[in-house]
Amino acid sequence: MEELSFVGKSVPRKDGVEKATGRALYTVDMVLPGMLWGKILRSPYPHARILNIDTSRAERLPGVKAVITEKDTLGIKHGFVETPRYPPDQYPLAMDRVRYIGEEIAAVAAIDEYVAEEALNLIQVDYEELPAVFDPEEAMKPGAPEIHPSHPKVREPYKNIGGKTESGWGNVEKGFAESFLVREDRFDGQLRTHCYMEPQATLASFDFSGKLNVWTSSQGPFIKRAKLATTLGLPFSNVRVLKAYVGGAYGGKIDLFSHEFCASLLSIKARRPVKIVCTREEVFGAARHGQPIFVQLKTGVKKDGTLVAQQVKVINNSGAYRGSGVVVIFLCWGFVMLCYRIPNLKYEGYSVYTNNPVRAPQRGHGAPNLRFAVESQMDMIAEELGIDPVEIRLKNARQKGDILPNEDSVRNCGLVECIERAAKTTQFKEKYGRNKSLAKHRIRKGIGMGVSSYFSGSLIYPNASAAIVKLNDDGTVSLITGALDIGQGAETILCQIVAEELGVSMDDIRVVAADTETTPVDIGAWISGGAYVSGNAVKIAASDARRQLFEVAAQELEANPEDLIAKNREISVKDSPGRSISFTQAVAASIAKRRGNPIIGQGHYRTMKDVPAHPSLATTKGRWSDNYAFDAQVAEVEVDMETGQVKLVKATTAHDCGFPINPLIVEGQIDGQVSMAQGHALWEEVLMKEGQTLTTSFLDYKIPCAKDMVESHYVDVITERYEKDIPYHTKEVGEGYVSGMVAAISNAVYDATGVRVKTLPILPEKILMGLKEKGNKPH
Amino acid sequence: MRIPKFEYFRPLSIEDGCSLLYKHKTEAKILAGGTDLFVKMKKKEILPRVVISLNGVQKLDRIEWDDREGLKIGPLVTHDALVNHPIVREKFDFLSEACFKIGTRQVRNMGTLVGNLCNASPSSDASAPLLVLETKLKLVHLYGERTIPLQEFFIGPFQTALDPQEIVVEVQIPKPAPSTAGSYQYLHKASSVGETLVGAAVLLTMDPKDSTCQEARIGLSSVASTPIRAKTAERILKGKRLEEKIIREAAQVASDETQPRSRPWYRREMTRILVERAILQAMEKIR
Amino acid sequence: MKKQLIELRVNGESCELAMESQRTLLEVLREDLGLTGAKEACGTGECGACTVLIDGKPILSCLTLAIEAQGKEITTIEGLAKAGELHPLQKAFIQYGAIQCGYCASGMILNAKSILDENPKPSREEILKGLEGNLCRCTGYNKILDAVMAASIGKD
Repeated sequence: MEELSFVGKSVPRKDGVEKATGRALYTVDMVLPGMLWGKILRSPYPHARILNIDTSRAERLPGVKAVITEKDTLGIKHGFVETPRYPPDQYPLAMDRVRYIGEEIAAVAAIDEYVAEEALNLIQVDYEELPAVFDPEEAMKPGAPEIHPSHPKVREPYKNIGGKTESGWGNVEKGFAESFLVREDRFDGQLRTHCYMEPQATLASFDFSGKLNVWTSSQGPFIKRAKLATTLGLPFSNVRVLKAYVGGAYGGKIDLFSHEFCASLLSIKARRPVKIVCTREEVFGAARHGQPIFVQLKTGVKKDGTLVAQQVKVINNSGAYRGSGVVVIFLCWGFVMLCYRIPNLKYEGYSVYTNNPVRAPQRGHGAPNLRFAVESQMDMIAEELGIDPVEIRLKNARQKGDILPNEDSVRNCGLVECIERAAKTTQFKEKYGRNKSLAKHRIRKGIGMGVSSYFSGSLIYPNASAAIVKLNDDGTVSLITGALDIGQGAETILCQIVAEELGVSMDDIRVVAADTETTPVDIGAWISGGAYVSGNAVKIAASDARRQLFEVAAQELEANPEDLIAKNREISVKDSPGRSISFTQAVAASIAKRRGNPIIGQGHYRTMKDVPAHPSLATTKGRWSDNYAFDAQVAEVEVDMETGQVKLVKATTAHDCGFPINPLIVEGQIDGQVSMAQGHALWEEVLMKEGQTLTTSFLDYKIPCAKDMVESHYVDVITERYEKDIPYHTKEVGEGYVSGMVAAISNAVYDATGVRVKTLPILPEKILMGLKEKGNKPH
Repeated sequence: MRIPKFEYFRPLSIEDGCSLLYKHKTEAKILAGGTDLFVKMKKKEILPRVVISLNGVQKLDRIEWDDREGLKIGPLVTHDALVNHPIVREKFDFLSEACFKIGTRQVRNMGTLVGNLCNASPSSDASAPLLVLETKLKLVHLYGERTIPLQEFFIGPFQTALDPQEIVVEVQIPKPAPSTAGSYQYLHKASSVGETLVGAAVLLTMDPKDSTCQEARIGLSSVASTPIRAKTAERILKGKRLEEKIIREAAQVASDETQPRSRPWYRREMTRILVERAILQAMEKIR
Repeated sequence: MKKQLIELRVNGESCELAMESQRTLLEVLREDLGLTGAKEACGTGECGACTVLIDGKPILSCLTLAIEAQGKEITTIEGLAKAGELHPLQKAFIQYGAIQCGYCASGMILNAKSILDENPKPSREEILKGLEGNLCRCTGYNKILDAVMAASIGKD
């Protein structure tokens, strides 16, 4: 196979210079002439009827240019999921009822933030408090206060059900009866949050021609445009969402947020640009956090550790509206069945309304909690059977070519190799269980493994991308793509593909991206598979441009187009040294030959080409994804047995990502996810009391700092490759490495201390209490 | 987040500062480093109409050592200055360590020790070492001055005995007796930066002849509504040979003297562990 | 509130501005001088994204009054590259993959510069401790450490 020049290489980021020099403009940096500042009035009650809103005093305050409440809206709802089964359920500004503390009720635009804040204080709202419920199991009970009527298709007598997923195969009861060992455990995942460094922010500008221009910190402009246009009652083409750099998102900036709607509507009303920047306190208190899930897991195995049957119940606390809760309970099914072969499965997932702020996907979207449960229990089962934790995983792991119960193929699944190589490189078998001989040491070491899998190219929305590659007169290339770089390196890897296909250098490529008016559609950076879907669209567009260029170059070189190669900024004839022209010369020739008709390559790619739609969220039936990524991660910890404090010393990630388009970027993604896993497993928790967020700053909610940096090792398991002229398969690297590591850390802590913690985070006192219960005899 | 509006003054002398305080009383706040003041103002916890900056007054950042009177620290001395000062590192190394733990590099460059003490957070790291060093503060107002032990300065969470018209002008740390050493042990609330979960400072003076403890002082932060001295535990150590049993007993008693509000079980356990470790480390240093 | 006339020295240049006393240095840099490199991620002194150098020392500009920054040399990220040539730290951050979303980069690079200016050959622990006040949610700090180490030993 031909040696690649750019794909597979650790090329420096395309936007690196702009970011390193402080020139990159994020939404918070943008200003427009005449710009007003907006602020939002939020509900102080978790559940209340709005009896009256009086904005007259606010409107009269000098410096206030517009005030809006639901009366100014069209009363159109939106939702993360908008399907016939799960229609949109949230108004952008609360209409006669508020259902969580922080819910948006009104907004003002004023000449500065001081006036805007003063205006908020002048808005008079009369509430009638209603009974509220905060715990999902309480909310499901028959006597619970009703936040929304339960979903009509859920037949059990539960209240507040936003959605349900049910799936399975085989016969679990029979399976359990035939099992040598059956375990049942419950694992609780805590409420955690994204902590993107750039707060939520939007700048909206409505002009007199009826056009709304929006810059917003997001994960993809096209979804934002669709939802803004719909809720504002504007034609899609009257709403333009432009590219802004994004200061992190991790799942927390996908669907429509009230402040985006408010900035837009305020701008429409005031006919001036309006900027809303949420304070960090607002982000902690009212923006969407990750979904807290608990998993009830019952597993039956044979004497040799082979899985026979698994029964899973997942309950998601989705907050006061459906949000992405109905997606996460579908995904949790997926995260159960992807890694191991399970002959009999029964899965039930509920997404439950509570009077809390709405929850959103957070890096892994259910996988961290689900794999924490499954992988912890696997270790517990292995110990009871006297089997090595690596062996039990190898016994059950999916293999190359396995067909999943939904009829997808795992293709070149590298899970077995991931497990084997992770174990080998960390000397897992030598280190595991060593504490049995180290009983007296104050600092004890532990090692643990966690295995996970992630879909890569699923059909939500549908997941398609189109791209344009335009050859410019001076020999440069314009890449026009709807893909958005939120820090994961999308623009860089897409340029690498263009550079590879056209034989130009990275510096020759100009990127025009993520602008709903000028760039073709792209799903956005939140569904895992940008490298696969957007990448293949760009590849097709670039090779289309190359084909057109070769037609001209072939004439110049008196050769066949099939014999031409584009490399090192040259078009040359294969095996004919000396017969070549420069790329620029070829472009110039094309302008002359085609009478000024520029070469424009076009490409489109959709995942799951022949499948009409995403599988059913309710029943999981249907083909799901073109690719599945797999990983096995190993955590090595040190635990101070007196204080219970855990230090994650070393993390090893053996990952099957297909092939890395940019290894340095992939390593960066792994490091970031190891760090998130560290926080998720050991410290992070959004504390709430009766709907009120207690942790509202980085002082209260601790994320890892530089001193917490974990030594991170990578094992690349390559299972796919990049070839000219055919679409490539590759797998996501942005989400799946949190889940294996959370589980690995938990298993490592058990190895070190003999204490099994089933509720995250693994706080030091939980370990000490566990040791006390065992009578201080760790093993 | 914006700082609420205020009227700004930048006096050139302490006397002028006191005059301004006399005039504006409870409507005014002193600005030194600003790391506590502006955070509280942004969160609307306090809303002074007047802010009086001390940063225009000369010579408030002095650190002076006198062989009889000990160490004197001015009100604009930052934590960073304390961490790096040779006298502090030599004679009060555990105070230097405590200051190094505080905040972050940026906060240590801006925040002053006096400002930190006036903020009176129950979890302030510098407080426990300063308490065991029997630190005093010199306060001045327009018509006079007074000196108050640090122990009496803290009266509640984020509350001090500082009168609204007073300015703290000096931190006075007496010269330690010979054969004395101190240790500061701490645990973070979570991860490696930020608030202290428990801070324990121990100062020991040992009799070189018979290895008995002549003086023992135990200071604790983040386990009560103010930083405290564990006086009952101290009495257990004083005059005794510090064997394992005595140390453990004192650590347990110190733990019993705490009144932690949040995560109480864990905080009490950790007090015990950290006091033990601090006693042992102080003993080690004296040898 | 009456505005005061102040003079600030930013990146070697003096500028005269009229402003109210409560304006922070961060606001003035971003909104009055168009230097948007310094960012606000928290506003309360915990994240370090607003870090600039004052007389070479890293400080939090979101908790510093602009009027109090008079008479001092203020360095922002925009002042680091000289005559079109990137500072070795900027080059290293790009080369070693230490930038992802980039929001923390300005503060991180400036703080790292101050660490290297104080101690040209810091240990890994010294670098990590020095950077503890600059939060990053994307990178896990691994590549940031690589970049600062590389810049410290003059690797290009």
